[in-house]
Amino acid sequence: MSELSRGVARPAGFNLAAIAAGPADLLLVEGPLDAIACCERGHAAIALVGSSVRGELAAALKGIDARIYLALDGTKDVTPLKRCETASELGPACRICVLPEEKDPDDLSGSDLAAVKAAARPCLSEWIGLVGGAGATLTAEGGRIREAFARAVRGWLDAGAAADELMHAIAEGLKMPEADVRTWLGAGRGAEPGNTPTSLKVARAASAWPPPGQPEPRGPPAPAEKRPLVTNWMWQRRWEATKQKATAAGNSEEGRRRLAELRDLGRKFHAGDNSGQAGSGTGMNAGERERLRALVDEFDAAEVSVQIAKPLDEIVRDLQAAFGGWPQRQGLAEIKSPFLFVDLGGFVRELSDDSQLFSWLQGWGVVKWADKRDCDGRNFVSRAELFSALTASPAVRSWLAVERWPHEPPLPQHYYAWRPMEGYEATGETLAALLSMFDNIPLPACRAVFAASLVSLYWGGEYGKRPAIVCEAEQRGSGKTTVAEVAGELTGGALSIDLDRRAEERLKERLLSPEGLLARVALADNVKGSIDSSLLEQLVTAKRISGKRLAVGEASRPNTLSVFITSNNARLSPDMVRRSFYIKCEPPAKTVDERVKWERALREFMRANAAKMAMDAIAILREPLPTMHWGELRTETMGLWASEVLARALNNASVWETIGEITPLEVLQWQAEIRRQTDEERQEAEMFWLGVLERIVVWKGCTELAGPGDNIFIRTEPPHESGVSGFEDSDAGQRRRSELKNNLVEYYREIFTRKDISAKWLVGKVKSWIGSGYIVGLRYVEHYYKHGQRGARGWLVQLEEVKGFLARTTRAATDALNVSDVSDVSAEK
Amino acid sequence: MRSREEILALYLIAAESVRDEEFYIQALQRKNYLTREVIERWRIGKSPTLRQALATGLSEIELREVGLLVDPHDDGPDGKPYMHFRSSLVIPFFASGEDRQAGRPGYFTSRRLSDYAADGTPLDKAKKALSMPGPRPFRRRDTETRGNA
Repeated sequence: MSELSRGVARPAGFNLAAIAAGPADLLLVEGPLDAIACCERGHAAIALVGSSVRGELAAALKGIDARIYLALDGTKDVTPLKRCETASELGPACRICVLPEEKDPDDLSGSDLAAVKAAARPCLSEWIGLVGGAGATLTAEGGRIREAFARAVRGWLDAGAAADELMHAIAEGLKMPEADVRTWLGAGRGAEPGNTPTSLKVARAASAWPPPGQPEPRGPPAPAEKRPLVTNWMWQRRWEATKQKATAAGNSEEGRRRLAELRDLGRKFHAGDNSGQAGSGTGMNAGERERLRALVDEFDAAEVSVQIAKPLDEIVRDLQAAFGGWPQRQGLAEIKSPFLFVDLGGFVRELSDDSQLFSWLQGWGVVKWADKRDCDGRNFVSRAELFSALTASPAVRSWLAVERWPHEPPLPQHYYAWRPMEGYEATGETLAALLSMFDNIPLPACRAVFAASLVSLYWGGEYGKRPAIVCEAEQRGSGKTTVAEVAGELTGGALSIDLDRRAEERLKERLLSPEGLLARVALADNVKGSIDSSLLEQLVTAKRISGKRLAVGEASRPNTLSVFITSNNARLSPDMVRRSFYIKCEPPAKTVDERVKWERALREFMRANAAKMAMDAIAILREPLPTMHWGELRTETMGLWASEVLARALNNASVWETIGEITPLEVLQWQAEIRRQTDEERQEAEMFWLGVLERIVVWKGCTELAGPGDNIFIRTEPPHESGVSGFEDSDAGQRRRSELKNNLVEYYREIFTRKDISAKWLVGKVKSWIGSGYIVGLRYVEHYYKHGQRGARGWLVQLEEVKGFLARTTRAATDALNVSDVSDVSAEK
Repeated sequence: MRSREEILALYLIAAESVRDEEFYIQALQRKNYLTREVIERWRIGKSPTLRQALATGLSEIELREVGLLVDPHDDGPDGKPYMHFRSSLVIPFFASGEDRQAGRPGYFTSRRLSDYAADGTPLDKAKKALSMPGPRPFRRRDTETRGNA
């Protein structure tokens, strides 16, 4: 320390001289007085002078033979994680003493200290207990525990711990396959087959794209002189008698017969030639030629060209030949509403009616379209007839869907207008870069879901096997909508869903509209209240979405939609919960400037990298399926997605590094935990509801209760359908209400003790209070049971106090209220 | 000026020499294991006043140099220099057993002798320990610069 001239560096510890004495056991405590007390009681001790181990002390303790015990104070701020992290500095063998609560080492006698030391467990065992239990606590803390553990293990490995032994011990402790442990903790990653960081050979991607069987895109229009001719007529050469001769011949049967013979032979003479040029008569025999010549002479016939109507099938065939197979059809011909499209080289132009078809034809060809009838009195094919024929003709190829973005593997019968980007080697880095821009998703399990949800947009898996992604936050401004919007923007914009009942009916129309058909993401943004929508469930699970397409009729699309839901404290129905994966967001600690900067950076990134993202996703999805050990998890209904998308996304080195150490199995376990907690909230809410009912019954002096659900009814009072007298919408009623609302206690008391209100009204009223956050869940129930008959006052006061907790408890409470006819209730009011 | 080691050694001598009966009683009340023998074995002292420290031959500059005398700053009492450790047990750190024998501390930390101020008001428990700080950079007092500004 002599080199310190002015500043005083804190020594690495107090009583470092104890190391030199070579004790068999050495206690590490926080304060110097603790160390003095321990030493005086016969236990060699060093004080850390703080609660962390300084590098110099760790180095000094490294070589010694003594068993090292870490005995931090038993204060609340010394958490198990803190103990483990501190002990990790001294290696996996350092033993951790857990002191009684609120006791410091100097509060313990010599024998107590000996007992604490005897009960101490090695640091690794403590970690395993902590990590193993982390799945059960659904907080960001759990994620931090895993990250800290991985950091500690890597520190041990760097310090030269035996990797095999360590991994084996961890695998055994956590009951995980050793390979998974290695993957998770980074040891041996890259050495294992199938775990090599993904580096997509872009050549492979490019060579396999577009999927075989797809026609070449039509591309831009050809120069004017090379554009193909589009007509609904054709030339026909004929031998025509002069007018006089024809009129004369028409007077006799024989004349008419010869005139017809001239027409027939003439047709044969020009057979196979619609070019309008002179005929050749190659299909005729000598006799027929002679006969024709005689007839031509007889009638002074001349060879003329006439326009006649082209048969519809010929028009279709010619059109397809001239435009290289375009236009093609989206939707099966059997359903009523297919539309035509043409790929103009990365841009799909939809031709949904005859005017659009002809607008395209005019640009890409030369259209000469005849109206009315030809000289034989036959109608020329109209524009509408051609369009209609194209939408039904077997000559036109049908696709189930037209995609602007790829799927991997490409889905059969899907037309992909996407083409791989030249010169970009997809390694997952763009995806990782995007993920790393989001610091509002603290849990690795949620970051993993976010990554997988982005990859999932390009997954060519079975229809209806994509989970709903719920972006949830307890506070506003957590950036959950941004998370969902990013997914939408990657594939050209999300289709917003409004869960209003009327809007639901229109949603299918929008999903089946030409623009909607291209969408890959449906976004229900900022959903308030309960999400119990059968339509939403259908969007998640249905293989095919069919409904009414506006101005057309029945239409359908294969379901490759990813549904994103954002909500502050989402309230999902049990069915939805099972089909959802959660991304929990927390507000990022950003100043306005930082936020603006971040938003700009994100926008810029999205603009520049959407194509690269698709390449990355395809690269990830092309990797062979990693060998997974899903264990005994039986509750996961989205197993296919987890195995094909989530596991692959996490198997990518770049993505994996950004997400943090987590295995797909852990992600599922975490998600299961989130769902379980959601369910628990429902149960809490049900308890609450029973409590409310009970209270109503007590207040109303009723002993008979029909049962939960719609039938709940209090029988002692005759139902009074017209609401509560004195509370009508008259001025006096309004005044009375507003008076009472200033004093909530009185208001509730008055409402609950009225004799003239129906139970149904009351139920509705309670429900509306819950919905509007005036009544909380479990807290009330607990309070109620604790304080028994103390009456409304305690409860209501409590209500006022706990408004801050409303969001979490009421959302589930409202879910559990099974009284469906809210409208009736409001009508009564 | 003496070296840092010498200054700290002299400070330890001052801290040991000012221990009186009342100090031993207070220390034992504070922690029941802080008997006279333990205090002497671990060379725990009582924080000397400036006057007591100067009596060992240390100068103000030397004390200030190692951070034991604190220049007045905004929250200093009365705007006068004051001793860093006040009314406390000062616990010396020794790098080795020999240093302890020879009385060559490298560092000091302190513990309050009482949780109550002289007037009986409870003190903030969070601030129970005070370790040797680095010396503050010299700053002119506002009152000195205000007239010239």
